[in-house]
Amino acid sequence: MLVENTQTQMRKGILEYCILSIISKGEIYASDIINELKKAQLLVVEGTLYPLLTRLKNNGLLSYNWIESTSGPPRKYYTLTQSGIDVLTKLDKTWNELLFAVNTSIDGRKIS
Amino acid sequence: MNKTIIININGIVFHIEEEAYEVLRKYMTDIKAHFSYSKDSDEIVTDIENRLAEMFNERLASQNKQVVEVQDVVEITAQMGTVNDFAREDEEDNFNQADNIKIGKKLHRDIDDKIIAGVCSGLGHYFEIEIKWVRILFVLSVLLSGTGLVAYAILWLVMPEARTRQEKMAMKGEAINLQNFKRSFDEEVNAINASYSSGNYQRTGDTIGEAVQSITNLISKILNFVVKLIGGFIVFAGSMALMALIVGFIFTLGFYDNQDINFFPLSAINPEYKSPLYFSAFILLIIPLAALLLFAIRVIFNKNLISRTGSFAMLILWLTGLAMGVFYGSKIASEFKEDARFEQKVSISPAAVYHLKLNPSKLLTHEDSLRLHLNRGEFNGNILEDYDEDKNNGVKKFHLEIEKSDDIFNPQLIKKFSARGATFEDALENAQNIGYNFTQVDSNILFDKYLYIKNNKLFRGQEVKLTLKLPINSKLIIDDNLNSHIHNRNLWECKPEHSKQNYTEWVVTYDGLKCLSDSTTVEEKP
Repeated sequence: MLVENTQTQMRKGILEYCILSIISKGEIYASDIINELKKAQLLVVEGTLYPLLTRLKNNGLLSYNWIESTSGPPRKYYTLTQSGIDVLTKLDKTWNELLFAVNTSIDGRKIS
Repeated sequence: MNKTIIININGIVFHIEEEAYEVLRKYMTDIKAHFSYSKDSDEIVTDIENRLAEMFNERLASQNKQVVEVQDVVEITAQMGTVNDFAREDEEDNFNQADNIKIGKKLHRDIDDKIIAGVCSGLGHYFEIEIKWVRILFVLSVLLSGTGLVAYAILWLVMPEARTRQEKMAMKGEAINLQNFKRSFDEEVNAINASYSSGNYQRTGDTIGEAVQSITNLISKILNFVVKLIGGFIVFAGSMALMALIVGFIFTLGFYDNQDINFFPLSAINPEYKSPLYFSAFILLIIPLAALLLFAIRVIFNKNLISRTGSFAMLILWLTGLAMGVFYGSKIASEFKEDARFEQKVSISPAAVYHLKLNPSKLLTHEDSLRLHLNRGEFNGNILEDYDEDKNNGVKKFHLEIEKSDDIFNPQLIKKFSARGATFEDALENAQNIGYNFTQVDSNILFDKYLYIKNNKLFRGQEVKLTLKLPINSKLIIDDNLNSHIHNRNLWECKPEHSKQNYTEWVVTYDGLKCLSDSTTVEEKP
């Protein structure tokens, strides 16, 4: 239970960071975000993404445009807002710190 | 060949097999339930629906199909992820933290568990009382000149009904988080499934049929309510009787050797049989009452409070009580088997006119005097009878017959005592322990109203028959209140019309007792 909890906490912070990073590369459709995340082996199912996107949008980090689609209803294409970019910059810094912290901490340990 | 349904997901039309539709519908219901705690629920669900529509579209196009099949729905929803997947992913998500704030309990009507409008069940949830007690209280308060009805009506108006899941959970005071939500939702789905499978609701599409059905539903609801109301009364009366019985039993156990409750059926019971007999009577009464109560509770609250074993135990207990009662009852009955009687003759001093009266005073036995602390001072043992006529201890009143005497000069009173017992000796002993007194003061003969039983003998059919033998032509004045003791004559026969006297006048003739007014006209000759 404790292990799972820690794992979830670690993944969750990273998931948001990754999503913001993916979107920062340019306007992107939700299912493409999924594909990117799948490539990164972070997400299992699409359904998890929608609540996250909605929350990030409501926090003002994302915005979206409706773009007509040939195969179905119009799609939401997400972009980062200015505050989203700011947050991502902060997160980059934090991530580097964490990376350093983690690497330093596990240095010398054998990880299989 | 499969039936297909046309559905519309956010503006896109799909043909979908009925079976596939059921799967999809269930999936969407789960999704909606899962996200309904979030304020962004609509948006998230729309996103998911859109994406599903898109995926269906792509799939149909790539496979050159027209109709969405079960397989498609299963695969696409698997790609989207089930509620369980979401739950795992955002187990510690701040959705939970944000929405896990404990919402205070709210007073709502529980329309899922209602008899009239769910007021009682709502109150029950709010105060965490079992709902049946609230209902019983309401029924009782209706009995109190209908205050409950007014209160119910007001509460009905004031309390909002719990429509949404959130309100229902707030009503029950459950923390609004994912687990509880899921549980509450599952309960609801189960309830709906149950009502579907029981065939109560069939999609008829026939409006008249629906109207008829809703009227029938209403009537059955009303009938149900009436039955429950009656049941409620039974439960109420039953519990009262049960309580009275228990109190009465304890009372009886405490007082059973007291003279005060020495009235008829109890006065025949031997003291050593009293406890078991009272106990068996208690069991014989309380078990059917309890059974009735349990049955009523079962009808109203659909709650079986007693197991099959419990019912059998009750039955066996009752039969034991019955056996005990029969055993001791027949033991007592056996003491009525033999009969014994004896006579006692008492002379009466002759007088021209005998005035027969009922003695207004009661002779107290020695024990009575001791018990009532009457042995002080000059008290001579008699007190005025001030107690209820019917409250005799089972001993009959005396019987009086008036006959002509063969012996002209010696009027006499013959007392015949009789009683019963297990053996003749017992019966005779019982008869000998009957006491009966009369007193003669000049021409007045005073009869005691009751016989009494000496030496604490039990009631064993003791009787006293008095025969007053008087010389021919003796005149009698008989008080009216002796009428019920004289069996061979009705005193009212002799009463002149509109008479205000409380006595009648008689004369003894060769043919027995004659009314004086009759005999003066007829019996002049000798």
